[in-house]
Amino acid sequence: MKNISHFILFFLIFSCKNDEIIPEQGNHPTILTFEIPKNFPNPVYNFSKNPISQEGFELGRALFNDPILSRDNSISCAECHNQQVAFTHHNHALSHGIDGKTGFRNALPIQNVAWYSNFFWDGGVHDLDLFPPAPIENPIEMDENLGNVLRKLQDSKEYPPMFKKAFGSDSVSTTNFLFALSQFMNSLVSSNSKYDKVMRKEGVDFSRLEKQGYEIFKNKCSSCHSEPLFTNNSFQNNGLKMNYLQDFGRYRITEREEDKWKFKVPSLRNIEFTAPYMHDGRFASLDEVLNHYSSGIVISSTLNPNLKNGISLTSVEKDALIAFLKTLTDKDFLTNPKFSTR
Amino acid sequence: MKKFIFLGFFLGSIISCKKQEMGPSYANLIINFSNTINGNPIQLNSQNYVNSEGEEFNIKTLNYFISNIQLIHADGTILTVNDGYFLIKESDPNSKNIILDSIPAGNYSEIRFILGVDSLKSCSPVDERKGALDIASYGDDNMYWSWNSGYIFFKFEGTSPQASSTPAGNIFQFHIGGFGGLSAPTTNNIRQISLPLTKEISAQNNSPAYIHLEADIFKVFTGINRIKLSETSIIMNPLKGKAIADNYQNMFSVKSIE
Repeated sequence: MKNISHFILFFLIFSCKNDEIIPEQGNHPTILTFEIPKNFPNPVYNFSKNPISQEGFELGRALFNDPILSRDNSISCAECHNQQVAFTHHNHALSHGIDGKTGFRNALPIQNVAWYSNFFWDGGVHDLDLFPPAPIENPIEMDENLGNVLRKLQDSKEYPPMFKKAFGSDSVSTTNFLFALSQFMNSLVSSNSKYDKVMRKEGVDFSRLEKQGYEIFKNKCSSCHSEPLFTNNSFQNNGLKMNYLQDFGRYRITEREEDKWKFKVPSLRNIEFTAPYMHDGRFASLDEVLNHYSSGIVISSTLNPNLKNGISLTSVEKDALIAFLKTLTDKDFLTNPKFSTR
Repeated sequence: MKKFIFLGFFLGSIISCKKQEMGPSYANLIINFSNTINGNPIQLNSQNYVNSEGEEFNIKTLNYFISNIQLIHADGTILTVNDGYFLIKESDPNSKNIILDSIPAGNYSEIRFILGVDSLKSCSPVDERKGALDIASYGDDNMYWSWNSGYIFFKFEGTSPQASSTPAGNIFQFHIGGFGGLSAPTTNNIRQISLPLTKEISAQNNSPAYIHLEADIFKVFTGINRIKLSETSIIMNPLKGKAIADNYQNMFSVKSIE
């Protein structure tokens, strides 16, 4: 009889344990599922190595908004990457960094980066985890040394506990610092524009003009600005006139003649809000962009052959195209309070 | 009883001696790097040297990555003694000794190593970059290009009256990198160095074996290519760096083996 009661007690204890697995406070980050939008392909980022957790996301968000990453504690990532304009630099053709120094390129949006295999207008970085050191160490952006950043964070009161919550250790390591920023940046997914809802048949339709614009887009723009990311991640010369910046683009990285004046095809998502346009922000409006394609193409040895004769567009077609491009605006993304520390 | 214990102990010690003689022997091996000009170890920030073009120069920084160290047997079999990555810095004497534990003693005909960081490691995830490969570990003596993902394999800086004038003075800066590219084929400045070994590595009582290597820095300026500081004083791109890499590939020799 004793044996049976012992067995039952043991069984009860054991089954209770199996039913209620409570993670120890502070030792296990809350892993979130990365939702792949139904109309998107699989991301390329290796999430098995660095899954997004609530704590990692919050740490990354804090770092993204903290000027401690710069030499004189004046410039944060958010300075040139403002959420309300899809994490580009509002109203800036070229960004200014530390000591008011001006850069030579237009800040690209941070959206859907989990799907990208190269970063920067010239693709100089191929791994999102290795992105942050570039602006941090650039003397005209944040002008700080990565090791110093880690030291400043380690010496702070608020960061070591956040690292402990996100990674199980309060040691601010190179890897965990970069992983936290990647967790935040990977979370910036823009997939709820009107276009997306139409594609996923969520009860929204294009207007007649937008539909017309979409047809023109598929016909004349999508070989480079391919759906659903609106970039094919390649480097192209789209016929821009060389200016005083003398920027050779991709050539700076590969040093191959065939890469001269080629720049990364940017995603057109949220384009309504990411003016000014092109790698140096030379076009203030979408009208100027379309005028460039229809009548402003400059021939050079590396020009994309499809642009040899420009892209013929009547003014009605231009209106339709712009109407379509505005359907790529994702208000949820631009206004989501989760992405901001305010 | 005492007799039995003594006999047992005696037999035991004989048997254990025999065991030591029959097993393989290992040596601790130190590969020591000496950077020289005209046979003398270089001094940083002090004396002026003269290159093959008759140009005077003073050295401020000399760093390079050494990795993938291999010892080759006479029959061609390769022993990868260490797949680690080491940063040799002239300014840090300790860094100039690579300490390798438990190398099988023997007759090796060659030592091979890479100056630089191989392409696989150059594209590896951040959590696999420890020690000398930690991109946050360099302080003010940077060895990583954040703008063009990759390590600076060889960094050689100093001053020279013949170098172009800059706001920082007449300086030369040779930053040699370029692992061949990930998404597009680009200049590959990784260099494998092979040097003959004429003496065997043997186990000694408690002291390590040494391979003393010498890098003749004079050869950075001359070899396959003649480098003129008056023409080339700043190199920060792989393409321009190839001429230097082709030169330093031949600057190493084995000075002695102990």
